[in-house]
Amino acid sequence: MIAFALVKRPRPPRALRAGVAAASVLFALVLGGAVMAAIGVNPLGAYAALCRGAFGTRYGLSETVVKAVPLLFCGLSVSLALRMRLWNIGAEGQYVVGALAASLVALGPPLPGRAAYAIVMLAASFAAGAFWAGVPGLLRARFNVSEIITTLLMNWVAIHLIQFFVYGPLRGADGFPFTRPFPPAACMARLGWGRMHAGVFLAAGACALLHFLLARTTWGFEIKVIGDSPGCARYAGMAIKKNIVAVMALAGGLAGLAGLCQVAGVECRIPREVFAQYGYTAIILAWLARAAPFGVALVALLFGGLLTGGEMIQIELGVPLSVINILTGSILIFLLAGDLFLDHRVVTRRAARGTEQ
Amino acid sequence: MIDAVGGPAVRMLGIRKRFPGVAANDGVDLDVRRGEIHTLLGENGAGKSTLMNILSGLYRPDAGEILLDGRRAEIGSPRDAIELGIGMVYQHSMLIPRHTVAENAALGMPGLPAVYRARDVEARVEETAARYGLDLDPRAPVWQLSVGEQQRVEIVKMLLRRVDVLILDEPTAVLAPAEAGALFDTMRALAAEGRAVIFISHKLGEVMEVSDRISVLRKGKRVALLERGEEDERGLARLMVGGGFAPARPARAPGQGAPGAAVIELAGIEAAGARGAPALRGVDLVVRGGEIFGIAGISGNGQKELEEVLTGLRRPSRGSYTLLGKSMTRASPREIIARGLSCIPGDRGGVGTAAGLGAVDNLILKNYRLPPFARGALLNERAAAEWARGLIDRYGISVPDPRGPVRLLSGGNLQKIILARELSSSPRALLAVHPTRGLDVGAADGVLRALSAMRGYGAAVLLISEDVEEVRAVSDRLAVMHRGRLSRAMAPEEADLDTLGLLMTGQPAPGLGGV
Repeated sequence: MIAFALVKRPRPPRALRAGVAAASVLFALVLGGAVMAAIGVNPLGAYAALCRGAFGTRYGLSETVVKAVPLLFCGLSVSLALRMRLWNIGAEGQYVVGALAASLVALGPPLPGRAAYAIVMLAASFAAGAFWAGVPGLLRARFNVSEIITTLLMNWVAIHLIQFFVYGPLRGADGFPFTRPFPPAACMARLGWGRMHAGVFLAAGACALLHFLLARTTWGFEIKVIGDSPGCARYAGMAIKKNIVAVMALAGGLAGLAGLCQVAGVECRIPREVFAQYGYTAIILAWLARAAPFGVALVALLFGGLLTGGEMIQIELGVPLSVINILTGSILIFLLAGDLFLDHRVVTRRAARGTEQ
Repeated sequence: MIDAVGGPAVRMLGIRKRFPGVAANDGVDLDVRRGEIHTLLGENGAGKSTLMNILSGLYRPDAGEILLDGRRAEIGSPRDAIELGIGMVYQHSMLIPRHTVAENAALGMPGLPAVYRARDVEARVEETAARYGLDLDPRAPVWQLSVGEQQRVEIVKMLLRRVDVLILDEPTAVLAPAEAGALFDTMRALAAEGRAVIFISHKLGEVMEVSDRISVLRKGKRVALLERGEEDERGLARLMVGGGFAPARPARAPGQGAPGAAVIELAGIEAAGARGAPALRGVDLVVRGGEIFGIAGISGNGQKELEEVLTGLRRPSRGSYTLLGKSMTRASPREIIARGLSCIPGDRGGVGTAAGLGAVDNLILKNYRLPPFARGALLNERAAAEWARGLIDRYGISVPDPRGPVRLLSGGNLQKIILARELSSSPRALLAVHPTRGLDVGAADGVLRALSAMRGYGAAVLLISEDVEEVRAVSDRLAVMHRGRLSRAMAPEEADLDTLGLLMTGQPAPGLGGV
């Protein structure tokens, strides 16, 4: 009789990490394909249309990048926290308050010129996100309250807060549930390619900066040590509590900038569908990229493409967008399951019972 | 049971096991009889643990076979081993800290109904413990227990699973002499009932005391099988290490110049332990430059809390702590490090090193903020790598990949990384907690020599250890810690083993005024 057993492996090879990530995506595609086949859509045709929609056309490509921007910011946010073994489930809420703060500046008393709007809105959305994540950070540092719960709950506070403003004080004159449009000076410059906006550079810059911070600074070193071994970090004189608050605040600020890009770059007001679940998708993103900033950028483009292509096949083939949610969700599940193979080797063995000799 | 007492319970034939780069077991034969205490003796890395991990089903051998009571056995998992009557008590506790002793014992207990009465299990634990002279409260949560008590829980757990072959992997590494004595009594009682007890150790004295037979392993091979009394300690050491070897301890150099000024000063230190109960109950201590002050005692008597107070990880509730003339009572770990205290922590893998990071990161752990490693807020990776390479060479640390996680290194190499880091800052004060625990003779010797060298440079060295011999051998003055208090400081000459033994168990020692 052949049986399988798992043997622990000390250090997964690099190629295997990439392999598990690729296999997770592949399995998810198969699962998504099965769902599509079940509702009577040819999966191969649908995937081809999805790829064409996302990467095959000039317009599709620009939409992919536009969607990748908030994903990248939120993905960086979750990744940064993950580096210290903190779970920022609240990127969604931080994104929302970032969007709200930027809108309050844009729709508030007029500021002199584009630069002033840019700086104040940037600062406001970053600060709002930082505050939104800083509170859970503080609770974790001071009272050891799980940041998983608090960041998640703060999302609902953020969502209700923005709804209050969108349906209340900031509501547009036409009665629809979105805000008045921003003054033109408060909108980000368009790059003349679809809806592509200056936030693309902001996101790329944030990605590079975060990589630099983690890899090349003494603070990055502290984050690495605390993430690996808090006991050792404390003994080496690192201030863990301060770092928890600082890392959470920076993570929140990054997610806040996602909100800024969405309202000031894409919509120029708060649209009704501001909650696009970017903050939750970011958790999958960060996990898939193993919390590495440049990896997050790559995966953000991939997921941006999934969303864009998903919209395309919804229009063209009538495939519901929820198929895309099934895809992203199952990627995470396969990824988590795949970790088993990173930490263990599968060996086959004969059944292990004492036998007469 | 097929064989009577005296028959071979376990035979391992030609066992081979390779790990990347080493042949941990290179054709080992072993036979263990019922009713005997069979010792596996060897240095760290000799292959003892690997061999026993094979017997207990954790590893599978590359070649060789295992016979149990004359029948060939395939042991594919720890569960198979348990079913075949083989149980192992590992060096590190495998218990669930939040559960009680009885709940831990209930896990894997044969014949236990899915819904069981806690009281039944508690009674069985109590009965078994009492029968073998193991002092245990079945209702105590495991996290409240000392290492020694946890070990007793493991043994009771194995006995409740009705094991015939009990493997104890360096059980005395964490025990005080008195506790070790009690453990030996238990082992003898188990052997007398016809069980086979396999005892792993590299402490020669206790091996001589307790073993019926001794198998000596060296570099993955069995180099000798000895009957009781066949060799003396010197002979055993020679077999173990290979070639002429004397268990060398660095000799104290008396009159190395009078000790200097007080460096570490504690006055009336009181502190609560992790559970809030008082752990330090008025500790007074002065360590001078150029001396080694040794603190002996059974661990769990406040040593950990003392380490934490000295390094700034625990704030004393009362008393004062002065380092080089400056009050550190309320100082942060960083301030204390900056003042010149180095520390070799008792917990090598969890506190002393960041286990998932590489040797380079671990070597700059305390000076990453100083030039040349930091330029402003930037980290200079090249300077760090260069510095690490220098230390790795100088301390002879064997690191296959300086960026690979240090948790893959042996205990000896891990300790060398800590030593290299802590001594390279030329500290004025050095705290070493259980610095030789679990190290083989050669590595332990190196650590003790390093402590002596620091004394030679005028540093104040505070050594906290459970190894009484070690404390006596290297200290200029020593004291015993018991229940959060320190005994009077003694010269090593006054502190014979009997006196220390009494002090460690809290009895007043004649002529010393007690604790």
